[in-house]
Amino acid sequence: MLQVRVPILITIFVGVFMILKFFFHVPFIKGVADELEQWCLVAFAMAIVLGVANILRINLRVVMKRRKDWPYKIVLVFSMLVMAGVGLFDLITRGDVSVGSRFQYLFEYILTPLSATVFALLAFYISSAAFRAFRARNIRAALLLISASLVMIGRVPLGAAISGTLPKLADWIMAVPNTAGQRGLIIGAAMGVIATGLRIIFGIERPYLKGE
Amino acid sequence: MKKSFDRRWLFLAVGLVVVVFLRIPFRLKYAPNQKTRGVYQAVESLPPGSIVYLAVDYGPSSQAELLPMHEALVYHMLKRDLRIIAGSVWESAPPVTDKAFEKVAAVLRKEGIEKKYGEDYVNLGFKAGLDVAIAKIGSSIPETYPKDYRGAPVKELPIFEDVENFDQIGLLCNLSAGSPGARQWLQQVQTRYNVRMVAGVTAVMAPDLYSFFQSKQLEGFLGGLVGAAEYEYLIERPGLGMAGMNVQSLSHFLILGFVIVGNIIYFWGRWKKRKEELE
Repeated sequence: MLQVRVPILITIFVGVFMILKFFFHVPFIKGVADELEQWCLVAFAMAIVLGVANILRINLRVVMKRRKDWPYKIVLVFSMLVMAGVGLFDLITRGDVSVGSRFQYLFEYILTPLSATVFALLAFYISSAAFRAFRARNIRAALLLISASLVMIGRVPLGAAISGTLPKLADWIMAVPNTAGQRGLIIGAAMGVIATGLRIIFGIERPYLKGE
Repeated sequence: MKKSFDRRWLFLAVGLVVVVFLRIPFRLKYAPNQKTRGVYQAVESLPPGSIVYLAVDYGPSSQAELLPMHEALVYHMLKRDLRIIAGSVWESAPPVTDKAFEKVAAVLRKEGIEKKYGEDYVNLGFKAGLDVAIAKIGSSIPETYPKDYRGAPVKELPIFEDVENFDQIGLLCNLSAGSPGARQWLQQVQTRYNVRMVAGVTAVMAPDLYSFFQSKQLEGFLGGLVGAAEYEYLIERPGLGMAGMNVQSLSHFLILGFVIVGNIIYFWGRWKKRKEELE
Protein backbone atom coordinates (compact mmCIF):
# COMPACT_ATOMS: atom_id res chain seq x y z
CA MET A 1 0.00 0.00 0.00
CA LEU A 2 2.85 2.38 0.89
CA GLN A 3 4.37 1.74 -2.52
CA VAL A 4 1.29 3.35 -4.06
CA ARG A 5 0.53 6.06 -1.48
CA VAL A 6 4.01 7.53 -1.09
CA PRO A 7 4.56 8.28 -4.81
CA ILE A 8 1.05 9.79 -5.03
CA LEU A 9 1.73 12.00 -1.97
CA ILE A 10 5.07 13.12 -3.44
CA THR A 11 3.32 13.97 -6.74
CA ILE A 12 0.59 15.98 -4.97
CA PHE A 13 3.17 17.82 -2.83
CA VAL A 14 5.42 18.74 -5.77
CA GLY A 15 2.55 19.58 -8.14
CA VAL A 16 0.72 21.82 -5.65
CA PHE A 17 3.88 23.80 -4.81
CA MET A 18 4.69 24.29 -8.51
CA ILE A 19 1.20 25.67 -9.16
CA LEU A 20 1.31 27.88 -6.05
CA LYS A 21 4.72 29.26 -7.07
CA PHE A 22 3.30 30.30 -10.45
CA PHE A 23 0.39 32.25 -8.96
CA PHE A 24 1.65 33.56 -5.58
CA HIS A 25 4.85 35.44 -4.81
CA VAL A 26 5.21 34.19 -1.22
CA PRO A 27 8.85 33.66 -0.07
CA PHE A 28 8.05 30.36 1.73
CA ILE A 29 6.31 28.86 -1.33
CA LYS A 30 9.06 30.10 -3.63
CA GLY A 31 11.73 28.62 -1.34
CA VAL A 32 10.12 25.17 -1.28
CA ALA A 33 9.37 25.19 -5.03
CA ASP A 34 12.94 26.31 -5.88
CA GLU A 35 14.33 23.47 -3.78
CA LEU A 36 12.05 20.96 -5.51
CA GLU A 37 13.16 22.27 -8.92
CA GLN A 38 16.78 21.80 -7.85
CA TRP A 39 16.06 18.16 -6.91
CA CYS A 40 14.40 17.69 -10.27
CA LEU A 41 17.54 18.95 -12.06
CA VAL A 42 19.66 16.48 -10.07
CA ALA A 43 17.27 13.68 -11.08
CA PHE A 44 17.59 14.77 -14.75
CA ALA A 45 21.39 14.69 -14.51
CA MET A 46 21.19 11.17 -13.05
CA ALA A 47 18.89 10.19 -15.91
CA ILE A 48 21.66 11.12 -18.37
CA VAL A 49 24.01 8.66 -16.63
CA LEU A 50 21.29 5.99 -16.79
CA GLY A 51 20.73 6.81 -20.46
CA VAL A 52 24.41 6.30 -21.27
CA ALA A 53 24.43 3.01 -19.36
CA ASN A 54 21.31 1.92 -21.25
CA ILE A 55 22.82 2.77 -24.65
CA LEU A 56 25.88 0.69 -23.75
CA ARG A 57 23.80 -2.24 -22.50
CA ILE A 58 21.44 -2.41 -25.50
CA ASN A 59 24.05 -1.87 -28.21
CA LEU A 60 26.71 -4.15 -26.74
CA ARG A 61 24.11 -6.92 -26.50
CA VAL A 62 23.34 -6.50 -30.23
CA VAL A 63 27.07 -6.63 -31.03
CA MET A 64 27.66 -9.74 -28.88
CA LYS A 65 24.76 -11.60 -30.51
CA ARG A 66 25.69 -10.35 -34.03
CA ARG A 67 22.15 -9.13 -34.62
CA LYS A 68 21.06 -6.92 -37.54
CA ASP A 69 23.25 -3.81 -38.14
CA TRP A 70 25.74 -4.83 -35.43
CA PRO A 71 28.74 -3.11 -37.12
CA TYR A 72 26.89 0.25 -36.84
CA LYS A 73 26.44 -0.34 -33.11
CA ILE A 74 30.20 -0.67 -32.74
CA VAL A 75 30.63 2.71 -34.45
CA LEU A 76 28.00 4.23 -32.12
CA VAL A 77 29.54 2.86 -28.91
CA PHE A 78 33.08 3.68 -30.06
CA SER A 79 32.13 7.28 -30.98
CA MET A 80 30.33 7.79 -27.68
CA LEU A 81 33.24 6.45 -25.65
CA VAL A 82 35.79 8.52 -27.61
CA MET A 83 33.83 11.76 -27.15
CA ALA A 84 33.24 11.04 -23.45
CA GLY A 85 36.87 9.97 -22.93
CA VAL A 86 38.32 13.02 -24.68
CA GLY A 87 35.94 15.28 -22.78
CA LEU A 88 36.93 13.76 -19.42
CA PHE A 89 40.64 13.94 -20.35
CA ASP A 90 40.23 17.65 -21.16
CA LEU A 91 38.37 18.24 -17.90
CA ILE A 92 41.18 16.59 -15.92
CA THR A 93 44.11 18.17 -17.79
CA ARG A 94 42.82 21.69 -18.51
CA GLY A 95 39.66 22.01 -16.41
CA ASP A 96 37.17 22.66 -19.24
CA VAL A 97 36.03 21.57 -22.70
CA SER A 98 35.71 25.05 -24.22
CA VAL A 99 37.57 26.76 -27.09
CA GLY A 100 40.92 25.19 -27.90
CA SER A 101 40.18 21.85 -26.23
CA ARG A 102 40.46 18.48 -27.93
CA PHE A 103 36.75 17.94 -27.29
CA GLN A 104 35.89 21.17 -29.12
CA TYR A 105 38.14 20.02 -32.01
CA LEU A 106 36.24 16.72 -32.35
CA PHE A 107 32.94 18.55 -32.07
CA GLU A 108 33.89 21.11 -34.71
CA TYR A 109 35.58 18.87 -37.26
CA ILE A 110 33.75 15.55 -36.90
CA LEU A 111 30.35 15.89 -35.24
CA THR A 112 29.37 19.20 -36.89
CA PRO A 113 30.07 18.17 -40.53
CA LEU A 114 28.43 14.76 -39.97
CA SER A 115 25.27 16.27 -38.44
CA ALA A 116 25.10 19.00 -41.08
CA THR A 117 25.46 16.43 -43.87
CA VAL A 118 22.61 14.29 -42.57
CA PHE A 119 20.43 17.40 -42.22
CA ALA A 120 21.39 18.61 -45.71
CA LEU A 121 20.15 15.34 -47.23
CA LEU A 122 16.65 16.73 -46.56
CA ALA A 123 17.05 19.08 -49.53
CA PHE A 124 17.36 16.09 -51.87
CA TYR A 125 14.44 14.22 -50.35
CA ILE A 126 12.24 17.32 -50.44
CA SER A 127 13.00 17.84 -54.14
CA SER A 128 12.19 14.20 -54.87
CA ALA A 129 8.96 14.40 -52.83
CA ALA A 130 7.98 17.64 -54.58
CA PHE A 131 8.27 15.93 -57.95
CA ARG A 132 6.65 12.61 -57.08
CA ALA A 133 4.07 13.27 -54.37
CA PHE A 134 2.99 16.91 -54.39
CA ARG A 135 0.06 16.46 -56.80
CA ALA A 136 -3.21 18.37 -57.17
CA ARG A 137 -5.32 15.20 -56.89
CA ASN A 138 -8.39 17.03 -55.55
CA ILE A 139 -9.50 20.53 -54.52
CA ARG A 140 -7.99 20.33 -51.03
CA ALA A 141 -4.67 19.05 -52.32
CA ALA A 142 -4.71 21.81 -54.96
CA LEU A 143 -5.31 24.46 -52.28
CA LEU A 144 -2.43 23.11 -50.20
CA LEU A 145 -0.20 23.01 -53.26
CA ILE A 146 -1.00 26.59 -54.29
CA SER A 147 -0.56 28.04 -50.78
CA ALA A 148 2.71 26.11 -50.23
CA SER A 149 4.05 27.30 -53.59
CA LEU A 150 3.12 30.91 -52.81
CA VAL A 151 4.80 30.75 -49.39
CA MET A 152 7.86 29.05 -50.88
CA ILE A 153 8.47 31.76 -53.46
CA GLY A 154 7.04 34.65 -51.45
CA ARG A 155 9.42 34.08 -48.54
CA VAL A 156 12.62 34.38 -50.59
CA PRO A 157 14.00 37.68 -51.95
CA LEU A 158 13.98 36.38 -55.51
CA GLY A 159 10.17 36.06 -55.26
CA ALA A 160 9.93 39.65 -54.05
CA ALA A 161 12.07 40.72 -57.01
CA ILE A 162 9.54 39.15 -59.42
CA SER A 163 6.49 40.77 -57.82
CA GLY A 164 5.95 42.82 -54.68
CA THR A 165 2.59 41.05 -54.20
CA LEU A 166 4.18 37.62 -53.62
CA PRO A 167 5.70 38.42 -50.18
CA LYS A 168 2.43 40.09 -49.12
CA LEU A 169 0.44 37.02 -50.13
CA ALA A 170 2.90 34.70 -48.38
CA ASP A 171 2.74 36.83 -45.24
CA TRP A 172 -1.06 36.83 -45.31
CA ILE A 173 -1.16 33.02 -45.59
CA MET A 174 1.20 32.71 -42.63
CA ALA A 175 -0.41 35.40 -40.47
CA VAL A 176 -4.10 34.59 -41.04
CA PRO A 177 -5.04 31.01 -42.05
CA ASN A 178 -1.87 29.47 -40.58
CA THR A 179 -2.16 31.36 -37.29
CA ALA A 180 -5.86 30.57 -36.97
CA GLY A 181 -5.08 26.86 -37.21
CA GLN A 182 -2.08 27.17 -34.88
CA ARG A 183 -4.19 28.97 -32.26
CA GLY A 184 -6.77 26.21 -32.33
CA LEU A 185 -4.05 23.63 -31.81
CA ILE A 186 -2.37 25.60 -29.01
CA ILE A 187 -5.64 26.18 -27.12
CA GLY A 188 -6.67 22.53 -27.52
CA ALA A 189 -3.27 21.24 -26.43
CA ALA A 190 -3.14 23.64 -23.45
CA MET A 191 -6.53 22.47 -22.21
CA GLY A 192 -5.42 18.86 -22.57
CA VAL A 193 -2.22 19.59 -20.63
CA ILE A 194 -4.18 21.29 -17.81
CA ALA A 195 -6.61 18.38 -17.57
CA THR A 196 -3.87 15.73 -17.63
CA GLY A 197 -1.74 17.74 -15.17
CA LEU A 198 -4.59 17.98 -12.67
CA ARG A 199 -5.39 14.27 -13.05
CA ILE A 200 -1.75 13.38 -12.33
CA ILE A 201 -1.41 15.83 -9.41
CA PHE A 202 -4.56 14.48 -7.73
CA GLY A 203 -3.51 10.87 -8.30
CA ILE A 204 -6.35 10.00 -10.69
CA GLU A 205 -3.86 9.16 -13.42
CA ARG A 206 -0.68 7.38 -12.31
CA PRO A 207 1.63 6.76 -15.26
CA TYR A 208 4.61 6.52 -12.86
CA LEU A 209 3.05 3.51 -11.08
CA LYS A 210 2.81 1.35 -14.19
CA GLY A 211 -0.97 0.97 -13.95
CA GLU A 212 -1.32 0.24 -10.22
CA MET B 1 6.68 -1.53 -70.10
CA LYS B 2 6.44 1.65 -68.05
CA LYS B 3 9.87 3.11 -67.34
CA SER B 4 10.15 4.98 -64.04
CA PHE B 5 12.01 8.26 -63.76
CA ASP B 6 15.41 8.00 -62.06
CA ARG B 7 15.22 10.46 -59.16
CA ARG B 8 18.99 10.81 -59.11
CA TRP B 9 18.55 13.36 -61.92
CA LEU B 10 16.63 15.53 -59.44
CA PHE B 11 19.39 15.12 -56.86
CA LEU B 12 21.95 16.12 -59.45
CA ALA B 13 19.96 19.25 -60.38
CA VAL B 14 19.65 20.29 -56.71
CA GLY B 15 23.34 19.58 -56.07
CA LEU B 16 24.38 21.60 -59.13
CA VAL B 17 22.24 24.61 -58.22
CA VAL B 18 23.67 24.63 -54.67
CA VAL B 19 27.32 24.18 -55.66
CA VAL B 20 27.29 26.51 -58.69
CA PHE B 21 25.46 29.40 -57.04
CA LEU B 22 27.51 29.18 -53.86
CA ARG B 23 30.45 29.93 -56.16
CA ILE B 24 28.73 32.72 -58.10
CA PRO B 25 27.90 35.53 -55.68
CA PHE B 26 25.11 37.93 -56.59
CA ARG B 27 23.24 40.52 -54.58
CA LEU B 28 19.52 40.21 -53.91
CA LYS B 29 17.33 43.05 -52.70
CA TYR B 30 15.91 42.57 -49.19
CA ALA B 31 12.80 44.05 -47.67
CA PRO B 32 12.89 42.90 -44.01
CA ASN B 33 9.45 42.10 -42.66
CA GLN B 34 7.86 43.25 -39.39
CA LYS B 35 9.08 40.20 -37.46
CA THR B 36 12.71 40.82 -38.37
CA ARG B 37 12.39 44.55 -37.75
CA GLY B 38 10.89 43.73 -34.34
CA VAL B 39 14.04 41.84 -33.32
CA TYR B 40 16.27 44.64 -34.62
CA GLN B 41 14.28 47.33 -32.82
CA ALA B 42 14.26 45.34 -29.56
CA VAL B 43 18.07 45.16 -29.61
CA GLU B 44 18.37 48.82 -30.66
CA SER B 45 16.04 49.97 -27.88
CA LEU B 46 18.26 48.63 -25.07
CA PRO B 47 20.58 51.15 -23.42
CA PRO B 48 24.33 50.28 -23.56
CA GLY B 49 25.37 48.01 -20.70
CA SER B 50 22.03 46.18 -20.59
CA ILE B 51 22.09 42.44 -20.15
CA VAL B 52 20.68 40.06 -22.77
CA TYR B 53 20.01 36.43 -21.87
CA LEU B 54 20.80 34.39 -24.98
CA ALA B 55 19.19 30.95 -24.75
CA VAL B 56 20.92 28.80 -27.35
CA ASP B 57 18.87 25.69 -27.96
CA TYR B 58 20.20 24.07 -31.09
CA GLY B 59 22.94 21.67 -32.08
CA PRO B 60 25.32 21.21 -34.98
CA SER B 61 22.67 19.75 -37.30
CA SER B 62 20.84 23.11 -37.41
CA GLN B 63 23.95 25.27 -37.63
CA ALA B 64 23.51 25.98 -41.34
CA GLU B 65 20.19 27.64 -40.60
CA LEU B 66 20.74 29.16 -37.16
CA LEU B 67 24.43 30.02 -36.87
CA PRO B 68 24.17 32.95 -39.35
CA MET B 69 21.46 34.65 -37.25
CA HIS B 70 23.30 33.69 -34.05
CA GLU B 71 26.46 35.45 -35.23
CA ALA B 72 24.55 38.45 -36.58
CA LEU B 73 22.67 38.91 -33.28
CA VAL B 74 25.80 38.54 -31.13
CA TYR B 75 27.64 41.00 -33.40
CA HIS B 76 24.83 43.55 -33.18
CA MET B 77 24.47 43.17 -29.41
CA LEU B 78 28.18 43.39 -28.60
CA LYS B 79 28.67 46.29 -31.01
CA ARG B 80 25.91 48.14 -29.16
CA ASP B 81 27.78 47.51 -25.88
CA LEU B 82 25.14 45.13 -24.57
CA ARG B 83 26.36 42.31 -22.32
CA ILE B 84 25.38 38.73 -23.15
CA ILE B 85 24.76 35.82 -20.78
CA ALA B 86 24.34 32.65 -22.87
CA GLY B 87 23.07 29.34 -21.59
CA SER B 88 21.53 26.21 -23.02
CA VAL B 89 19.20 23.34 -22.23
CA TRP B 90 20.48 21.41 -25.28
CA GLU B 91 23.58 19.33 -24.55
CA SER B 92 25.14 19.96 -27.96
CA ALA B 93 24.73 23.75 -27.90
CA PRO B 94 27.58 25.07 -25.68
CA PRO B 95 30.38 24.43 -28.23
CA VAL B 96 28.28 26.25 -30.87
CA THR B 97 27.84 29.19 -28.47
CA ASP B 98 31.59 29.28 -27.83
CA LYS B 99 32.30 29.26 -31.55
CA ALA B 100 29.90 32.14 -32.27
CA PHE B 101 31.33 34.26 -29.42
CA GLU B 102 34.94 33.65 -30.46
CA LYS B 103 34.23 34.39 -34.11
CA VAL B 104 32.35 37.63 -33.40
CA ALA B 105 34.91 38.76 -30.80
CA ALA B 106 37.66 38.28 -33.43
CA VAL B 107 35.68 40.30 -36.01
CA LEU B 108 35.11 43.12 -33.50
CA ARG B 109 38.81 43.05 -32.54
CA LYS B 110 39.65 43.70 -36.18
CA GLU B 111 37.28 46.67 -36.08
CA GLY B 112 39.14 47.97 -33.01
CA ILE B 113 36.52 46.93 -30.44
CA GLU B 114 37.78 44.73 -27.60
CA LYS B 115 35.25 42.49 -25.86
CA LYS B 116 36.23 40.38 -22.87
CA TYR B 117 34.92 37.00 -21.76
CA GLY B 118 33.33 37.25 -18.32
CA GLU B 119 32.81 41.00 -18.61
CA ASP B 120 30.96 41.47 -21.90
CA TYR B 121 29.84 37.93 -22.61
CA VAL B 122 29.73 34.56 -20.91
CA ASN B 123 28.84 31.01 -21.89
CA LEU B 124 27.15 29.18 -19.01
CA GLY B 125 27.04 25.85 -20.83
CA PHE B 126 24.43 23.10 -20.64
CA LYS B 127 21.88 22.47 -17.93
CA ALA B 128 19.93 19.20 -17.90
CA GLY B 129 16.24 19.40 -17.03
CA LEU B 130 14.32 20.62 -20.11
CA ASP B 131 11.31 22.79 -19.04
CA VAL B 132 12.22 22.52 -15.35
CA ALA B 133 15.70 23.89 -16.09
CA ILE B 134 14.12 26.82 -17.94
CA ALA B 135 11.79 27.53 -15.00
CA LYS B 136 14.75 27.31 -12.62
CA ILE B 137 16.83 29.72 -14.74
CA GLY B 138 13.87 32.10 -14.41
CA SER B 139 14.08 31.99 -10.58
CA SER B 140 17.84 32.33 -10.24
CA ILE B 141 20.55 32.19 -12.87
CA PRO B 142 23.57 31.74 -10.53
CA GLU B 143 21.75 29.03 -8.58
CA THR B 144 20.98 27.10 -11.77
CA TYR B 145 24.46 27.62 -13.20
CA PRO B 146 26.91 27.84 -10.27
CA LYS B 147 29.82 27.58 -12.76
CA ASP B 148 30.22 28.66 -16.37
CA TYR B 149 31.27 26.46 -19.31
CA ARG B 150 34.94 27.13 -18.49
CA GLY B 151 34.49 26.04 -14.89
CA ALA B 152 34.67 29.52 -13.30
CA PRO B 153 32.22 30.31 -10.44
CA VAL B 154 29.68 32.65 -12.06
CA LYS B 155 29.34 34.90 -9.00
CA GLU B 156 33.01 35.85 -9.43
CA LEU B 157 32.48 36.99 -13.02
CA PRO B 158 32.11 40.78 -13.46
CA ILE B 159 29.08 40.34 -15.73
CA PHE B 160 27.19 38.75 -12.80
CA GLU B 161 27.93 41.62 -10.40
CA ASP B 162 24.33 42.81 -10.41
CA VAL B 163 22.50 39.87 -11.99
CA GLU B 164 20.43 37.37 -10.04
CA ASN B 165 17.31 36.67 -12.09
CA PHE B 166 15.22 37.99 -14.97
CA ASP B 167 14.44 41.25 -13.14
CA GLN B 168 17.89 42.41 -14.24
CA ILE B 169 17.67 41.06 -17.80
CA GLY B 170 16.78 43.60 -20.48
CA LEU B 171 15.93 41.12 -23.20
CA LEU B 172 15.53 37.38 -23.55
CA CYS B 173 16.66 36.08 -26.94
CA ASN B 174 16.05 32.44 -27.78
CA LEU B 175 17.61 30.59 -30.70
CA SER B 176 16.01 27.20 -31.11
CA ALA B 177 15.63 24.25 -33.42
CA GLY B 178 13.00 22.25 -31.55
CA SER B 179 11.76 21.43 -28.08
CA PRO B 180 12.62 22.75 -25.54
CA GLY B 181 12.81 26.01 -27.40
CA ALA B 182 11.00 29.29 -27.99
CA ARG B 183 7.60 27.98 -26.89
CA GLN B 184 8.94 26.64 -23.58
CA TRP B 185 10.77 29.93 -22.89
CA LEU B 186 7.52 31.78 -23.57
CA GLN B 187 5.60 29.51 -21.17
CA GLN B 188 8.13 29.25 -18.35
CA VAL B 189 9.86 32.64 -18.39
CA GLN B 190 8.32 35.32 -20.63
CA THR B 191 4.77 34.95 -19.29
CA ARG B 192 5.84 34.37 -15.68
CA TYR B 193 8.39 37.18 -15.33
CA ASN B 194 7.01 39.51 -18.01
CA VAL B 195 10.40 39.81 -19.67
CA ARG B 196 10.84 41.24 -23.18
CA MET B 197 11.52 38.43 -25.62
CA VAL B 198 12.63 37.84 -29.21
CA ALA B 199 13.49 34.58 -30.95
CA GLY B 200 15.31 33.05 -33.87
CA VAL B 201 14.08 29.67 -35.09
CA THR B 202 14.36 27.25 -38.00
CA ALA B 203 12.00 27.80 -40.93
CA VAL B 204 9.80 24.82 -39.98
CA MET B 205 9.29 26.23 -36.48
CA ALA B 206 8.43 29.76 -37.63
CA PRO B 207 4.69 29.12 -38.28
CA ASP B 208 4.32 28.21 -34.57
CA LEU B 209 5.43 31.67 -33.46
CA TYR B 210 3.04 33.89 -35.42
CA SER B 211 0.36 33.74 -32.73
CA PHE B 212 2.87 34.77 -30.02
CA PHE B 213 4.07 37.63 -32.21
CA GLN B 214 0.51 38.82 -32.78
CA SER B 215 -0.22 38.66 -29.03
CA LYS B 216 2.98 40.76 -28.51
CA GLN B 217 4.55 38.15 -26.25
CA LEU B 218 7.33 38.09 -28.83
CA GLU B 219 8.55 41.47 -30.02
CA GLY B 220 9.90 39.84 -33.16
CA PHE B 221 11.41 36.66 -34.52
CA LEU B 222 13.74 35.49 -37.25
CA GLY B 223 12.49 32.49 -39.22
CA GLY B 224 15.13 30.36 -40.93
CA LEU B 225 17.90 31.52 -43.20
CA VAL B 226 15.77 34.28 -44.71
CA GLY B 227 15.37 35.81 -41.24
CA ALA B 228 19.15 35.70 -40.77
CA ALA B 229 19.73 37.31 -44.19
CA GLU B 230 17.22 40.09 -43.46
CA TYR B 231 18.87 40.74 -40.09
CA GLU B 232 22.31 40.90 -41.71
CA TYR B 233 20.85 43.39 -44.19
CA LEU B 234 19.49 45.54 -41.34
CA ILE B 235 22.80 45.62 -39.45
CA GLU B 236 24.61 46.20 -42.77
CA ARG B 237 26.93 43.26 -42.34
CA PRO B 238 26.52 40.62 -45.08
CA GLY B 239 27.42 37.19 -43.77
CA LEU B 240 26.55 33.52 -44.03
CA GLY B 241 22.81 34.28 -44.14
CA MET B 242 22.89 36.47 -47.23
CA ALA B 243 25.33 34.13 -48.98
CA GLY B 244 23.12 31.13 -48.26
CA MET B 245 19.93 32.97 -49.19
CA ASN B 246 21.03 33.30 -52.84
CA VAL B 247 21.23 29.52 -53.08
CA GLN B 248 18.04 28.98 -51.11
CA SER B 249 16.11 31.38 -53.37
CA LEU B 250 17.13 29.47 -56.47
CA SER B 251 16.52 26.09 -54.79
CA HIS B 252 12.95 27.15 -53.94
CA PHE B 253 12.33 28.00 -57.59
CA LEU B 254 13.88 24.71 -58.68
CA ILE B 255 11.61 22.77 -56.31
CA LEU B 256 8.63 24.76 -57.59
CA GLY B 257 9.70 23.72 -61.09
CA PHE B 258 9.71 20.07 -59.96
CA VAL B 259 6.20 20.49 -58.53
CA ILE B 260 4.92 21.99 -61.81
CA VAL B 261 6.59 19.34 -64.00
CA GLY B 262 5.38 16.56 -61.67
CA ASN B 263 1.80 17.85 -61.96
CA ILE B 264 1.98 18.22 -65.73
CA ILE B 265 3.11 14.57 -65.99
CA TYR B 266 0.35 13.52 -63.57
CA PHE B 267 -2.43 15.28 -65.50
CA TRP B 268 -1.03 14.11 -68.84
CA GLY B 269 -1.11 10.52 -67.54
CA ARG B 270 -4.67 10.94 -66.24
CA TRP B 271 -5.83 12.45 -69.52
CA LYS B 272 -4.21 9.60 -71.53
CA LYS B 273 -5.75 6.95 -69.27
CA ARG B 274 -9.21 8.47 -69.61
CA LYS B 275 -8.79 8.65 -73.41
CA GLU B 276 -7.80 4.97 -73.54
CA GLU B 277 -10.82 4.01 -71.41
CA LEU B 278 -13.17 5.89 -73.73
CA GLU B 279 -11.66 4.21 -76.80
